Amino acid sequence: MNSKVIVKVNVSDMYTFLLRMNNKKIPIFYVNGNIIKIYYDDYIKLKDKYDIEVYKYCGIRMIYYLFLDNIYLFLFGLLSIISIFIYSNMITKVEVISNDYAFVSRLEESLKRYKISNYQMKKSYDYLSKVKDNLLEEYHNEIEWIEIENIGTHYLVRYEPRIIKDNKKDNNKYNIVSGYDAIIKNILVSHGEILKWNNEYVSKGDMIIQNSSEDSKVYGEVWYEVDIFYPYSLYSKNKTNKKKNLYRIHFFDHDYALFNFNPFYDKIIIEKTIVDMCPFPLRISYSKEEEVDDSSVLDVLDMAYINALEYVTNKFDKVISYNVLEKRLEKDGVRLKIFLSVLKDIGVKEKVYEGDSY
Amino acid sequence: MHHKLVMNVYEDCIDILNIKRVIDINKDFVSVQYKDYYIDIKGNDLKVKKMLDNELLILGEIKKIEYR
Repeated sequence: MNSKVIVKVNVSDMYTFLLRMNNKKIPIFYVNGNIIKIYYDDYIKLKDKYDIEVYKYCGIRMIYYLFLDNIYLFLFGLLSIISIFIYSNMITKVEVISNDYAFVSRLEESLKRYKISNYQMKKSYDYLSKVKDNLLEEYHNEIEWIEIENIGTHYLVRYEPRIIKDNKKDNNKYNIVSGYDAIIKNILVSHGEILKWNNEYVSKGDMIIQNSSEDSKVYGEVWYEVDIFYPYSLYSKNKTNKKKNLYRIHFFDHDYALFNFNPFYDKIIIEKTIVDMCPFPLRISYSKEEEVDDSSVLDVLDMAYINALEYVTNKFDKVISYNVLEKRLEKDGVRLKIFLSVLKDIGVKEKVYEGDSY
Repeated sequence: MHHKLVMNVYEDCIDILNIKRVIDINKDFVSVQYKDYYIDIKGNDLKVKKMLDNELLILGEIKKIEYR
C-alpha cells in the first residue's frame, strides 16, 4: 500500500533539499514552498534524516487515519445503528383483543411458549403462520380463527371465539306445579312468575311458578308415615374379659400357637410380628387374644331397630325430623311405624304451549 | 530505451521531460542533464513545482534556455 503523503519540510534551503531528493531518485509530485507530496515509503526513509512532519495523508491511508482520529464517533454511530436495528426488530407489547380475560391469560401463556412476548425479537411470517396453526390446534374448541398482526413494534392478536351451540338446551316454558301437599322451603328459579313463596302451604296440583324454565326447582317439606319391617339379620359379639398372651409360629399357611392349652372358641387376635425370616415362609409373632361370645337377644333387637331407622332415612334426600310412632317386636324381626318430615323437590313441570292462557 | 527530450515552454512555466538528472537549482538558474548534454535555464524567481525521476516542472519568468 504505497499511498502518497503531503509533508512539511523544515529546512533552510529548499533548493538543496530538492536537489538531494533528485539525486536519491525520490519523486516529488507536488511542491508548494516547503510542503511537498511524496510516497509514504519515501517519507519513512526521510523522516529520520530531516525535520519532516505529516501535513496530510492521501489515498486509503487518509481513510484509515480519519477513522482512527474519529474512532469514538464511528463506534457511537455503529452502536446507534445496531441499537436502532435491535429496537425496531423487538416486540415491545403483545395485546390480545378480547373481553374474555381468563382465556386471554391462557392465550398469552401459550404465546410466551412460542416466544411471542415482550422484549423478544420479531418473528418471521412463516414462523407466525406455524404458531397460528399450532394455536388453532391447541384451542380447537375455543378459537375459530386467529390472526397475529404486526404494527410497528407491537403484536396485535385477534381471534374469533368458537361458539358451540347447545342444542340440548330446552327453550320451552314450563309451569311448576306442586306434586305433594307440602310447605315450601326453597325456590330456585331463573325466570318466571312466582305465585307461592317460602313457608306457604301448597296442596297437590297448586301452581307455584308460572312460565319458568326447565331447570327451576322448588323444595318443600313433605311428610311421610312409613311402616317398615326389619329382620334380625345382624348380631353383635361381646367380650368376656378373658385374655391370653401367646407366641405364634407361622409356617406357610399354618399357624401354631405355643403353650395354648385351653384355646378360646371365639376370639379377637391382635398380633405383632417379632421375627420375619423373609424370604423363608417362617414368621414368629406375639399375639394378644380376647375371648368373645354372641350378644344377648336385646342387643340384636336394638341393632335391628337402629338399622331400620337408617334404612328409612337413607331413602329420602334430606330428613328434617322423624318420630317413631310404633315399635313392635315380632318373631323374625322388628316392625316400626315412623313419621318422617322430609325436604324434597316437589315441583312437577307442565309444558306451556302457545295459545295456553293462564 | 532512450526517450527524446521534451520541453513544454510557456510564459510562466517550463516542463522538461525525459531528463537524466537535475544538476543545479537556484532562484534564477536551473541546470538539467539529458544524455551527455546539459540544458541551462535562466530566469527570475524560479520555483520547482514537480520533480520526478525524469520530469521537472518549473514556475517563474524564463529569460534564456541554453544547450551545452
